[in-house]
Amino acid sequence: MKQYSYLFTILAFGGGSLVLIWLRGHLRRYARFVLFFVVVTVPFAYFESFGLRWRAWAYNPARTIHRHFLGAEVESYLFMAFVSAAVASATLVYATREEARRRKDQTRARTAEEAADGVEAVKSGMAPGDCMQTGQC
Amino acid sequence: MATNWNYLIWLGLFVWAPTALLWLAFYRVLAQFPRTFGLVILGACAVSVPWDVVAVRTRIWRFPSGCCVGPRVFELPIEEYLFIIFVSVYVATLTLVIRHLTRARLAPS
Repeated sequence: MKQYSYLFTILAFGGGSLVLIWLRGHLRRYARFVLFFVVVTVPFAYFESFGLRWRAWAYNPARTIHRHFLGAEVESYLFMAFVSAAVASATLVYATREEARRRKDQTRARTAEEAADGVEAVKSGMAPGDCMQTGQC
Repeated sequence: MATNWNYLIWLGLFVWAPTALLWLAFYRVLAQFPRTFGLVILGACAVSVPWDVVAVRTRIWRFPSGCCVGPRVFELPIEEYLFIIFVSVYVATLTLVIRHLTRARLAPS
């Protein structure tokens, strides 16, 4: 069973975080995008072969399946799939929220600006909105 | 090729260079999401650091003695923290760029 240790940590940490993000993020509408993204990024796991060759890090053969594909551990492709899916999902959740917040702030600023214009117009004896016609805003 | 710079060279070639190119090409799009990048980095650190520490302690992977320049924190070389931070930035960058490029076709109606 020890040879499945790496696989187990990928499922526990990578899979676990992905499930958590999907449970909390209302991401079903982005499923197609995330799937597409995973297909694009999984081949990047090939770059690990350079890290292994240059001895930047090394795996314990007793703790991995010890099968290689294009020089990288087979599990690393799964690692890439889960990590890219989790990070992409989190990015989509946060980016959507950030955009919504920005839109809200812009609307609020515009409303405040319009209200200020109205007050100015009332002070100067004009009906709110008239200043637009007279060009005195 | 065996120097203490191996890990940093790997990061430079396969993570920093493509991320920098994407930022150069799509700065206007990406600069709109500082909060998103911050939260993604925080989330990545929260999951990946414990994962890495567990993996090193259970000897799933290790960092050979000549791999790294920096000191080790919780048994992990500084380069590994840079990996966690910048790989998550790279993936988030790629996500936002692909979303920007494909928005019309893939975004929900």
